[in-house]
Amino acid sequence: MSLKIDRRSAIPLIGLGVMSGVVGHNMKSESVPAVLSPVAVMGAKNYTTDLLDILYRGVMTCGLNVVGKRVLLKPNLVEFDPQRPINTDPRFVAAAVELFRKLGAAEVRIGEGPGHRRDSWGVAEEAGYRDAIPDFDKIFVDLNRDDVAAVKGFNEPEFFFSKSLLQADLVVSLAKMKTHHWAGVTLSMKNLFGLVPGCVYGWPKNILHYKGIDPSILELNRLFPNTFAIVDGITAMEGNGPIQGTGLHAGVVVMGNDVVAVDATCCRLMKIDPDKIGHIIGASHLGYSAVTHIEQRGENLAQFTKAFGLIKEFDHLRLDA
Amino acid sequence: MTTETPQIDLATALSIRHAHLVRFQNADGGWGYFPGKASWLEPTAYAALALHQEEAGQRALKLLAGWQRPDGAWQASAQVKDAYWGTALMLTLYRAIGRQDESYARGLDWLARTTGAEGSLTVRIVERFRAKVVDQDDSVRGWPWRPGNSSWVEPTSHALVALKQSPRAAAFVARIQEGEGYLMDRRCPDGGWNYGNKRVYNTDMVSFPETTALALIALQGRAPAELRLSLDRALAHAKSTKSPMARAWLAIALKLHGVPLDMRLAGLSPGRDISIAALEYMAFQPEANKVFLVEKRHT
Repeated sequence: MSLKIDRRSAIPLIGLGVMSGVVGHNMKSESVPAVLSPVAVMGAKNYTTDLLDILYRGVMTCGLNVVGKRVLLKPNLVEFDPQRPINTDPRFVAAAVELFRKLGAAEVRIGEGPGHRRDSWGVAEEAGYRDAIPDFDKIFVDLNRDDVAAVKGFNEPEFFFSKSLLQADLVVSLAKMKTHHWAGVTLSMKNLFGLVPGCVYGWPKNILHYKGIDPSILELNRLFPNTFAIVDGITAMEGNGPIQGTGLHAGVVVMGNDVVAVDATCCRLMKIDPDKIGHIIGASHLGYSAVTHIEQRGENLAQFTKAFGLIKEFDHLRLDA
Repeated sequence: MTTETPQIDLATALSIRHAHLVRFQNADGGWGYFPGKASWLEPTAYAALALHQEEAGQRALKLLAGWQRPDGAWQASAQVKDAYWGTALMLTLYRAIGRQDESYARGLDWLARTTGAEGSLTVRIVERFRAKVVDQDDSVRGWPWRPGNSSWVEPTSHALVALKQSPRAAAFVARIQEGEGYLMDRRCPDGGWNYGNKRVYNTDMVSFPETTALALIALQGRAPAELRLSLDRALAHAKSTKSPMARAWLAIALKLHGVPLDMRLAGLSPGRDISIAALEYMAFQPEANKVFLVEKRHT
């Protein structure tokens, strides 16, 4: 993936301590950025509404230009349970594929490396991706079992990722809005766990647990700074997420090119305090989480805000708890 | 039981899979996970197990022999050189071709001394100060995907097959017992297995079809009564899963346990996945394929 010098990569110094555990110093409230991070909040009643139009307006609102770029869409495709909204909805992914093609991307692929299941195509089949997404078999790349190349990362001289991923100009984190029983929430930043190849690191990608979940989320987002976030919060998950929680209609899509700002905004929509989420607290080198540094665009955030259920161990994450 | 898939000509379907494997063998003798991709140990081992009596299998063995590390473990690919769970697959392959030389012995020794890190003193000390979130017995160790990580169901299952098949199985009986104990401890309340968590935050986890099959293959020789719930779960998975990989593993597992199963191949042609083509080729042979068979009871 080609690197660009943008606002996020121009504030890298604080990030030097991330993998050594020096996380938690929040710079965001201490300086006023020249440009606020735009985050689009868009209403979407259900998955049969005109998702293409909603995504188009949101992306345009954030000023994203993908003309001529190789785009890799990274949904949250984990495992399938017909009773639970575990995965980014296939109709949502299909709309994103169509959108980025229409916006002039040179290539649009879907890439995912499910953390638990070995047969990624089988999970895609069960989750309805192969039926809902035209040409799915041609554009899907199994990030667990692609050819790999090494980069420096995770304090190791060689950390492997899919070549298809590394060749992309832009990653779009098509995350699902869910609570998470280890990380608190799983949104656009945590979604990048699926970039780590199982053929090297296993199912689950246990090396990330040993390196620490929050530091690993931060490291993955540091390694892939050219990421645009689109969070599917139409039917979200509360409670014991990311797998065994319960569905919750939130009717919202959140997007932006600052993944930290997007995830912090999602937290506020969920009535979860972003300043209590470890990987957001530690992300000051990656983006902005403070309300004062986010330019919220689109629709009124308050109309979509609802308190997501939390398991009792995570009650302390509640906003204003 | 009969699964709900269309009737296809089995001989033709297997012949197509055989041709698929032969056609997509790489020039170096290995196979990628998908056609045209670089060779990796895992798909190469499955394809070589499927074709181990043929010239294509011999070419694969030549490549894989060069991937053994000085410590006895195998590496995952030419590029990824760390010690790797797939060592167990190599030992199963060597056993299938009757190779029991110094290379096989070094691989066995590496596998027998490798354990999950959850049993290490450091991890036990750290865990003592944390709230208990996952319901499991960390003192019972299986095998990890990579040394230094925790044990998980799939690498543990392959390791158990390799150790139990070996002529030196009696010498490894304590390790085999512990590995089987790991699997029994991690069994989900529904009787099957997932990747290795049965209960988290007081919530029962559900099993997956492919890992249920793998654990059952590893637990060959256990008393049938101990596995009745698991075999029932495997049959239920066989009826519902759409994953061709899971269907192949379930067919292998249920055959090895002598459970009648009229499961059919999902389609005449294989998908792109090399491992699945190889597993289907082994799973749906009219005669039971014996490469994963454990003949003696070790516990």
